[in-house]
Amino acid sequence: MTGNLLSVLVFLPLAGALILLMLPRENHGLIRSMAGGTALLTLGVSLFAWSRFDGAASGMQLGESYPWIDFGMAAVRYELGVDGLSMPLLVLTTVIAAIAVLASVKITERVKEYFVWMLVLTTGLLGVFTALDLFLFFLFFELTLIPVFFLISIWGGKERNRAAFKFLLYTGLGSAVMFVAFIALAFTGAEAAASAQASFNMIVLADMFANPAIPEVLGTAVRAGLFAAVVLAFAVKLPVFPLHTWLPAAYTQAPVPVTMILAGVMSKMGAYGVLRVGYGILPDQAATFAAVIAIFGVINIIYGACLALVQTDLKMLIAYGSMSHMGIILLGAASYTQAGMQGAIFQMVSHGLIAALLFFIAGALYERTKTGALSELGGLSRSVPVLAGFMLAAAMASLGLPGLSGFVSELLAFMGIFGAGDLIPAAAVIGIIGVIGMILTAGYLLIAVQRTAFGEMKEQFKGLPDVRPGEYVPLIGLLGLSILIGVYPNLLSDIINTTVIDIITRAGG
Amino acid sequence: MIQNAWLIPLLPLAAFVILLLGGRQLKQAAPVIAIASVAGAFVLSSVVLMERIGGDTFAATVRWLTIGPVDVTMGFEVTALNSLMLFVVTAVSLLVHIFSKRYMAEDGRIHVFYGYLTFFTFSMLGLVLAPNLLQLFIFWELVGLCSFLLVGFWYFKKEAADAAKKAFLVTRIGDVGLLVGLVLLFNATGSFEYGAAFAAVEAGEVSGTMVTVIALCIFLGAVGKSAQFPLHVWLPDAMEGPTPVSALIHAATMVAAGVYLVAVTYPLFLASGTALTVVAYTGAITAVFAASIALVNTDIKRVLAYSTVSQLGLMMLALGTAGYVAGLFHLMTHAFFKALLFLAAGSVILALHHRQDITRMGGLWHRMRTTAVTFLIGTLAIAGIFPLAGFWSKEAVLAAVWANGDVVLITLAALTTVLTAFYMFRLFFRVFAGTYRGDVEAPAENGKTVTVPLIVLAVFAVTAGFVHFPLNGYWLEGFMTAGLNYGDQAHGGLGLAAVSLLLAAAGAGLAWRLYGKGEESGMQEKVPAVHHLLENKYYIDEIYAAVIVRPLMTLSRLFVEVDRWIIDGAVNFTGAITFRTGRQAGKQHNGQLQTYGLVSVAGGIALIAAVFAVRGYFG
Repeated sequence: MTGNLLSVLVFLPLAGALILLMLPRENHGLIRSMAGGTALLTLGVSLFAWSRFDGAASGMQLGESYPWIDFGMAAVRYELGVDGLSMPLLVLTTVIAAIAVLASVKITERVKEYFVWMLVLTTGLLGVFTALDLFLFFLFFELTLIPVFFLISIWGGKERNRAAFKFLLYTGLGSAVMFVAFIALAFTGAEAAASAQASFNMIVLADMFANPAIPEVLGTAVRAGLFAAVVLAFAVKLPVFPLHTWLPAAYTQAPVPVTMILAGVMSKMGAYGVLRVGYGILPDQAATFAAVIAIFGVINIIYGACLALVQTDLKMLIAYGSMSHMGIILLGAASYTQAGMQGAIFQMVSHGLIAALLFFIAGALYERTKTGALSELGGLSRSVPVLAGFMLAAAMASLGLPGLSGFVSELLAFMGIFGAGDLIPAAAVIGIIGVIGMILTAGYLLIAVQRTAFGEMKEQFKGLPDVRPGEYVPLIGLLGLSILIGVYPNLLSDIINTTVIDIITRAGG
Repeated sequence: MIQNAWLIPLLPLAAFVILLLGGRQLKQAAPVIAIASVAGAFVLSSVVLMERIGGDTFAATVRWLTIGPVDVTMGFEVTALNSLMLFVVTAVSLLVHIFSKRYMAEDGRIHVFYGYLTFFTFSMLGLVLAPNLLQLFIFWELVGLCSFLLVGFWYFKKEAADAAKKAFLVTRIGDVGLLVGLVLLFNATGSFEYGAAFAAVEAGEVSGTMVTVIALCIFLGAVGKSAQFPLHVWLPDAMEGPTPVSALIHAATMVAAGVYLVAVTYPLFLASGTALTVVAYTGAITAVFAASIALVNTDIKRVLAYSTVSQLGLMMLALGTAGYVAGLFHLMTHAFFKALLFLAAGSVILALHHRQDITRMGGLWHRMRTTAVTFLIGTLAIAGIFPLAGFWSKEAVLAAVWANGDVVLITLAALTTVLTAFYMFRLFFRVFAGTYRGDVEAPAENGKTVTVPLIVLAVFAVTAGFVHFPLNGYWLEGFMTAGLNYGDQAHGGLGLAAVSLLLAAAGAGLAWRLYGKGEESGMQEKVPAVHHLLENKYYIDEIYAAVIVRPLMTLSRLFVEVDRWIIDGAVNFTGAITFRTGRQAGKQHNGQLQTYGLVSVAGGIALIAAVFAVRGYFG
């Protein structure tokens, strides 16, 4: 039953996209139902996979492995699998994708194409989180970028071409570096293991690089270079300062459902890549670079938060806030502690839910008020009390209020960094700067709430429609999951704990 | 019942959920549901307190979060301290809930108000029931959220929205300190549980410096929540919230959570002389500092707010001078008489159609007799007049400070006693004595839902001190310190009582001389510089704006420019070049996809070639 479960999960959206292609272009209702049905079915399959996943077991589960391409000097295999790091992200992806597809009611042009790209994107994302072969991983990674490029440049806002081009430029850079890094990893790995044929399998590579004799075969500089290249490649996606300037453009110009996926899931591809490839294959280098990663983590937190503080547009504010929150992932991961690593994974999931929620709300407000300028908004608690209530709740989730998921991830990440004194010099100082970021976060989010929801009701916003039935699905779904994890985090930690223990143990051994 | 103490917070939570989902339909039933839930919680709390006094105790935990091999748990534990807190919190909360029915009757969002109020009660009860520091922090933040929501309840007023934001942000500075403190405590001891963590500290497993750092971080949280100097600035502004909120959250319960926090983590402070001294001095300085501002303020609620800051300072001072019982005893009596004073002020404000300026009051003694008498009782209690509750608890605080022996602290405490009596009687005279100066026609009492809570609180304000006085052998002390090793608790003698009464009488007498007729004293003209300084609250807000807020905003704007010109400049430059190269290389294909492919693949191949050439794979 579970033999090819992951393949089914990964390619289900693609199959849906193929069916969509055969449907008549004008029949929007049918297209929407088909796309929504596919996304929900995919969500169902991912939940089934979750139920089959044994949180207490080490290593990859639900694995699939088939020979694929033999280049002679290198072999590429079709290999999928999940562990405690990828399982939550898999479910996150299907949740956000389903909600994004359902939230696409405002798309009325080139409907069929739009949903085709959305489903192709979903397959790419699921592939990234399940692929165990670097080559396959790279293909899936690239498969996510093309749909996003079109989704922004066709259905985006006024500045969509500039945003799409910028996205393309950065992504091209990232992909190029990634490609080189992967090839180099495979061949240096083979060299280190004195193997005739290079393998792209991440697990095999990890074992090769774990060989105690490796420092003699591959110098520190080479391994450091490999790690740096891997991190650089993924840093664009996260994004890490100073590779972030594509983010505000893309997040604000993409149609809302696409931004939900961009901020909610695609940024996690970057974090996942760093952990899976960087930490997974080169744990010793991850430890060496811990201080650097931690410093980039706090720079992201502070720099993003400061930029968010002075934004005049709601979406821009959320976009920079989103960037700031990615720093928590780096901080937790850098600490290389049980708590910190768990915090990083918690933050991936939590940020995925909350960022998607915030962008959805910003989109819903924009649709009603036709403006994103903070100076023009205000008093919405009067005109749209329920939506404003959700906005307040989302802001609280984002600033790490306990009872919501963000708190757990921040707590864990800070437990990690404050406990990383052995690995990172001045870890406490980095931690202190990080927590100052929490104050700034509260600052910009409260500014956002005050400028939009509080104040006298404005004449022009009188009689705006409050939350529509269809909008309750994303609002309650995303907020509900954040509350669920915040109130009972064991739901998540029971899945990821064993994997994190393995990650930490490997670094120690 | 004690095994089911977890039901106590759940009752108001249930009411909150009902009001959240069905509030708009319920409207008139909303106050009734809320009052009933809190009344239930009060009854249960009373039973639990009785059982605890009878010697029962109970604790339970569930697994919450697993970090590697460590299970972090949540649960509840009934101790002497928190059984008392449960009683005080539910008692005051119940009276405030009843009072609000009339106070908020004209507000169209009364169901929302009661929803927030019940959620606050839930959170505050959760805070005191917590058996570990992490759980305390969770509820600590939730009460902060409620405070934000209730201060900003009238969010359409700019002042209210600003005050709410300020309250949240300033206390967040403290919260972040507390978070760091509990993280450090966990990293040092391997547990968030009070018992396990403190045992590790007492066993010497944590270095002295680390204990001090942890204690000070935790204390920073207390400074924020209890509005101690220099994080006191949010509390006076928080008076923008409805008055019942000020009584419950910003006088009796939430702001006292900082004092409670120091009390539950007391072993850490006892283990660090430095931390204890910091607590004492912060408290003493805050007490005098806030009292001095209260001397000149003309807003009835803000005078009481500064008074609260000052009294919380006294509690901290007591804890800082080893007066564990004294600090908590004063917390308890203060909860009653300050809630009384705020609700009485609310009664006045209601009668005057939401005017709060005392220069437009006066002469209300004859028009609002119940309010006036109960306010006077509150005033006598807080001034420390025998035999009201405040007399006994202030006596205990002074005894602790006296036993500690630090002359500076003794002086500050004595000064606070004089100032407190002075500003409270000034307030009383300005509001109730002389002739009425307002413009609202015939102000009068507002009915039984307002006066009954006042009378009940007045009874507490008179009698609550008798749980801890010589004739019953300082009963509270025996109850609260059983099984704890927090050192000897100081007791005042007749001499101390006489001195403190004299000091209070001096303050009250001076107020009578200057304000006895209810009119302005002319202090403004006599000492203009001092008056100006106090009226402007020592310019603390302005200093913060100049030193923190404006530089931060300038830095942020600088970052915006960095982003735009330096980082994006480099990107656009690279982009332009790449794009042009791409154009030339693929003239036949001008589509964006081709450009995309070109950028990534061409760049990739070039880099691969370079790397492989260097590594010698093609050689």
